[in-house]
Amino acid sequence: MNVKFLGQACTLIETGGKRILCDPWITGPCNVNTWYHLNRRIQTRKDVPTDVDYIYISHEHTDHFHSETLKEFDRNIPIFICKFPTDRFYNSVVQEGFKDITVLESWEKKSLEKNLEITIIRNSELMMEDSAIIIKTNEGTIFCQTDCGMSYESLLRVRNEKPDLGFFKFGAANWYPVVYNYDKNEKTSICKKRKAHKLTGFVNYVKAVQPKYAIPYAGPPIFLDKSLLDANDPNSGMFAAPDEAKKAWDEEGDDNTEIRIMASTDEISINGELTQNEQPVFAHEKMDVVRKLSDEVEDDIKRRYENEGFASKNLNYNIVDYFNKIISENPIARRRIDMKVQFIAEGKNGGDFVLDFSKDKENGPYAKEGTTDDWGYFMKLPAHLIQKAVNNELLWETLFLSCRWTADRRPDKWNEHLMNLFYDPDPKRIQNIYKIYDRQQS
Amino acid sequence: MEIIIKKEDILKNKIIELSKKPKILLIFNGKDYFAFNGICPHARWPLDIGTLDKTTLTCVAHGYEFDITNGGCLNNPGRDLKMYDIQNDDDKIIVKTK
Repeated sequence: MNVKFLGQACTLIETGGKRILCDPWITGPCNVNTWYHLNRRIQTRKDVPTDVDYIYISHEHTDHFHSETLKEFDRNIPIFICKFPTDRFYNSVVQEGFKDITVLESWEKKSLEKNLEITIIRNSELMMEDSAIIIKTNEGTIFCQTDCGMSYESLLRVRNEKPDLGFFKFGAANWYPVVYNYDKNEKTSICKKRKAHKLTGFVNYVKAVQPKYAIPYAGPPIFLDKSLLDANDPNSGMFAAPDEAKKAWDEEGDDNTEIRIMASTDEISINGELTQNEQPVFAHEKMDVVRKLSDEVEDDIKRRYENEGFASKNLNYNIVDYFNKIISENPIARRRIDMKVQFIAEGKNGGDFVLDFSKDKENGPYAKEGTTDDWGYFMKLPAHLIQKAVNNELLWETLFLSCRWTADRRPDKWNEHLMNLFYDPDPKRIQNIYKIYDRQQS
Repeated sequence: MEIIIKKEDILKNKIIELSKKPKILLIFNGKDYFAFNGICPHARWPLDIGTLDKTTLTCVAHGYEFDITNGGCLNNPGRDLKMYDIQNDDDKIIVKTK
C-alpha cells in the first residue's frame, strides 16, 4: 500500500492494484487563478494520474474540486462524496459531467473491493460543508483530513480505526487578514497569531488521532500574482511551510507519532518509508522559490486574467437585483448581520453599492447604488468577478479565497452571519442553520 | 443543581473540569472564579485542553478565543460560552448548573 502526494490535499492511494485519488487539484491555479501549490515547480497535465479507479472529493473549494484538473478524467470514474445538508456540492459534481456519483452518509462504511473500504466523515462546523476520509485495507489504514474541521470526538473515533498514516491540515486557507486594510505591523501580528493557531491545531489533530506517521498537508498555497507575493512571506505572512509544522510537533507533540514531510510527487509506504522524488519547500527558502515561480507563470497568469471575461453593462442592475433577492429572502440572516455593506465593483461597468442588512429594516429595497459613511463592512471586488458571482457562475467563497479584493470592517470583528449568507444564500439552508445555531446558543 | 468544590482544590490559572456532561469548566484567576461551558461552539473541541493567557482561553483546534470573565467569543462574536452562576462561600465554591 502506497500513497503518492500530489500537492495541497491531493493524495493517490494505491492498494491491491486499485488506485483512489483524493481531492484532485494538480495542474493549473485555483481560486480564480491565484492559488498554486507550495512546490518547487509548476505541475502540468503530465502530473495528473488519469488511470485511477475511484475519486473522492471532500468539498467544493477549488483546491479540492478543481475543474481544470478534473477535465483530465474519464466521466465514468466513480466519484465518492459526503452527504451534506444541501445538494449543492452533489449538483456541482453533476455539472462537471460525472455520471457515477455515490453519496455516503457520514461514518457510513463503503466496501469498494474485497479488502478495500472507505469511510467519509462530515465536518463538525455549522456553516460550511466539508469532509474527511478513512481508507482501510488488509495492508493498513490511511486517514486524510483534507480541510475538514472535525470535532474532537470524531478524531477520537478515527483513532479507534488505528491509522498507520494520517494526512493532517496544517495551514491557513483564508483571506483574513490578507485582504484587510491593516497597517503592515498589525497585519503581520494577526498573521503570526493565525499561523501559530493553525500549527497548534495540526499538533492537536495528530495527538487526537495518533497515527504511526503523520504528514502535514492541505497546507497553505502560494500566491504567484506579483501583487500578492508579500502574502507568502514566512516572516510576516500566515501561510506556514511544512517544516514549521514539524517544528511545532517537535516542540509540543508526543512519542506516539512520527512526522514525515512530503513534497509533491513523493511517495510513502504504509510502513512510513518515504521515497523522495522532489525536495519540499521549507520556510527559509520559500520566498526564493515563490519569486522564481512567479516569473515563470507571469505570462500565463496574465493570459488567464484576460480570459476571465467582462462585467456587462447591466452589472449595476444585476447586483441590485441579486442582493435585493437574497436579503429579502433571508430576514433571519439579515437581523443577525445587522450592518450596512459598502460594496464596490471595481473596473469597467462597475460602481458603488450599499447593501443594507440592518436588523430594523424590515422592508426593501435592501440594495441600491451609492455610498454610505455608515458601513460596517467595506468590500471592493473586481467587477467582472462579481458579474460571475451574481450570475451564479462563481462562488463568492472562491472569489474571496482568491484574495483579489480588499476589505475593511467597523468594528473589526468577524461577522460569520454575513459570510454565511455569501457562502450559500439558499433560504431553506439558512433557516435550518439558524434553528441549530439558536439551539446551540441557548 | 449545584456543584460544590473546595477552594483548596482550585489552583490559580488552572482549568478544572467540574462536570463531564454537560462539560463545565472552572477557572480561578487569583481574584475571581469563572464557570462556563467547556465545549467550543465552533467544532466541539474540549476547552480544558485549551491554552489560557490571562482571561483569554484559546481552543487548540481552530484558535477560537473566549473571554472567561463573560464567555464572550473574541474572534466570532455570538459564538459565546454559557456562563454559570457562582456562589463564593468561605471555603468552597458553589456552581449553579440550573
